[in-house]
Amino acid sequence: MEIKKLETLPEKVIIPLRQHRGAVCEPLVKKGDRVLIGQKIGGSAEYQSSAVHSSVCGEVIAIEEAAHPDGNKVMSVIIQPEDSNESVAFSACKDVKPDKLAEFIKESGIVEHYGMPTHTVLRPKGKKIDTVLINATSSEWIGGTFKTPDDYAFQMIDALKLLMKAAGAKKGAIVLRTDDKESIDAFEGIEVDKKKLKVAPLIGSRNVGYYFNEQNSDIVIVSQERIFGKKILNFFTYRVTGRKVKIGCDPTDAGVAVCGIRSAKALYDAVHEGTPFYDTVISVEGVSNKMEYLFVRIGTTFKDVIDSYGYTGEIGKIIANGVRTGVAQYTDQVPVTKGTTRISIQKPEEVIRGESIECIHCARCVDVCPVELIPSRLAVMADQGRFDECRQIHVENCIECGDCAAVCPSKIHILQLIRYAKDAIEMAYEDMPEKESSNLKLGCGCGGE
Amino acid sequence: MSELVTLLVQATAILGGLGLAVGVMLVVASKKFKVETNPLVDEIVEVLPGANCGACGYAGCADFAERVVNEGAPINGCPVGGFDVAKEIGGILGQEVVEGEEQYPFVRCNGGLNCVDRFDYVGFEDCKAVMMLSDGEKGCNYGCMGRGTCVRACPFGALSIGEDRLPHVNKNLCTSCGLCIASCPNDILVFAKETEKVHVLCMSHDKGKAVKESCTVGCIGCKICEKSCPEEAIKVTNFLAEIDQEKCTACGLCVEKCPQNSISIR
Repeated sequence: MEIKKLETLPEKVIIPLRQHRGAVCEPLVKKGDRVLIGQKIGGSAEYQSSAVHSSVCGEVIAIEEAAHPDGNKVMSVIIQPEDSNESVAFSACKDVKPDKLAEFIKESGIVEHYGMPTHTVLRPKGKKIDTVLINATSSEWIGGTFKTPDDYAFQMIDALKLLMKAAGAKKGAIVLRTDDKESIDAFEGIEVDKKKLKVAPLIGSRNVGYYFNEQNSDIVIVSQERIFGKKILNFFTYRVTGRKVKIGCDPTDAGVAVCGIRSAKALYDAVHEGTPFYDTVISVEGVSNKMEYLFVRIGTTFKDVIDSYGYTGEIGKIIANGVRTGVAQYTDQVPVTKGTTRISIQKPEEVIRGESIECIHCARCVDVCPVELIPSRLAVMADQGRFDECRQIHVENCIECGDCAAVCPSKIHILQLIRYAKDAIEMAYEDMPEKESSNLKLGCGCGGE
Repeated sequence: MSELVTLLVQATAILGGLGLAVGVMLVVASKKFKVETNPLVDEIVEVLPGANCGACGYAGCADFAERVVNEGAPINGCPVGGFDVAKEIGGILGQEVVEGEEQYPFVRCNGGLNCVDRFDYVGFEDCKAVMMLSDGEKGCNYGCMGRGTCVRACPFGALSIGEDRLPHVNKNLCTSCGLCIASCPNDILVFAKETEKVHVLCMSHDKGKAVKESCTVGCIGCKICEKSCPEEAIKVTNFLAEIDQEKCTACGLCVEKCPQNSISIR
């Protein structure tokens, strides 16, 4: 896979002080300061937070609220870069102690692409992790800076060991996609602790637990079909480990930490080269048939990315993180963040503006739903504000893949309605005092928070 | 034959006796465990609208009636029935009722078409749904989204979204129940008394520059109104003018002076 490096110097970079779910970082620089590559520019004392680093060398021109690809405005540090590669002195820290590793991850600014800071996934408060998974099933961005496929495999396994060390977990697995030949070839026949490993497919009840036993190894490489969606973690955990995660809980409640390739690579770099998380690989697609992989610094605006993609025509729509579940951007002055994986561009004539009409009860949405819900019914109930009935038919199980809305011939905004219902349910139970809500509690039902 | 007669007599005697005993028990029980109900409560329930809408804040009309009699809840507490019902309740309880001032929902935003759209929204028509995306399509985060959540919340059909993409209240249909006010995600709607003439039609706490970029009629916090008011009824806090309705004499000076035309008199 070819990765293009974004060479042109952007006019400005916008580095949001919140690129994760949790507390917004306090800026550590002020207007007029000169910053270097890798310099920490934002940090927070809160546990649920992650440090932010500068990705360029230059001058801070403003600290203000700026657009964020999630849609909201977030306090950001805006830096005017200069043509220099001056960076802070990076030093490898290979001998970080296991108990210090979580703090090290937080300081290196490593964040999962779905938003959680990695250290909170590995060391959740009051929960014990025993298995770490690296989800490589949607690995558009795996290329990174790996020289050879073997290099990729070794780095991933090394990163998995580091993640296991940080979490204090005994077992670990890397989950590949069945049709991703490139990665499977890279991992096939690799040696871990002097044992040759085979890439094993996950079929039926043969989940990772089975392969831990069969291969007699604490680290296994498995493959499975791609699961697509915004809230797949619980479903993914069930598919891979066979552990059911209750509604309102997350995989950490079942003792599983799910990490992405991106954070694994960032951790490897942080430990072996000392570089914090300030650059990443994203894919750009649309307009023409080619899909391009770009190695960009975090904070580069979408405009610069699109320019280097080579499209100069009129833009109809820019979507961050995939056309189905992503967020359409209202300006191209939004930065690439740690959570940005893909930028899709549409020409004005490609933008579909279908007005929804009445449901014709064709049940195509029911057929395509991967978690066997009844999207048509959920949409009707959400529209009428009958959120309790939505709960009764398990709206929380939706993985937000968007298949239902994509196949709907009446162009009903089913996914939006489902999200609306989920949001309303969360809001309704948010302010309920503890005592009153004991038997109607929305949160996790298995003891954890 | 005689056997049959004896059987009949016996059966009648046993059943009759049982009936008598149970009847006596029931009479005793009804005397002993009698629940004292206040006849006033039933009378008040009779005059209430009976919609059980809960707009009074209690669990329905019967509950409201009970609270009025036993706990001294305000007799004009039923917004749906209004003054007529309050008068009837007053008659039952022998209390004097003074006609309160009528109040209707009031839209505290004049954005609508005057406010710039950041993007083109296609989707489920609901203010809360729009606000889940990028805090709404409007350039202003405080303004009315104009997607009609209040219209859908109103059980009496008193609200409508007009040509200017702002909600309008039909005072003939409105019962001042307050459901629209509770439904508005941006708190644009408030109750305003008919005697309160002057209002600031903006909710934005953004700085002047940001307001000017997004809206042509937004309050920029310039404090001209504050300086011009002879009664000192206007105060600008956090880039937004607020009017103290107690002090306001509706002289209209601020309306004239406001450079953004965000203060209105009615």
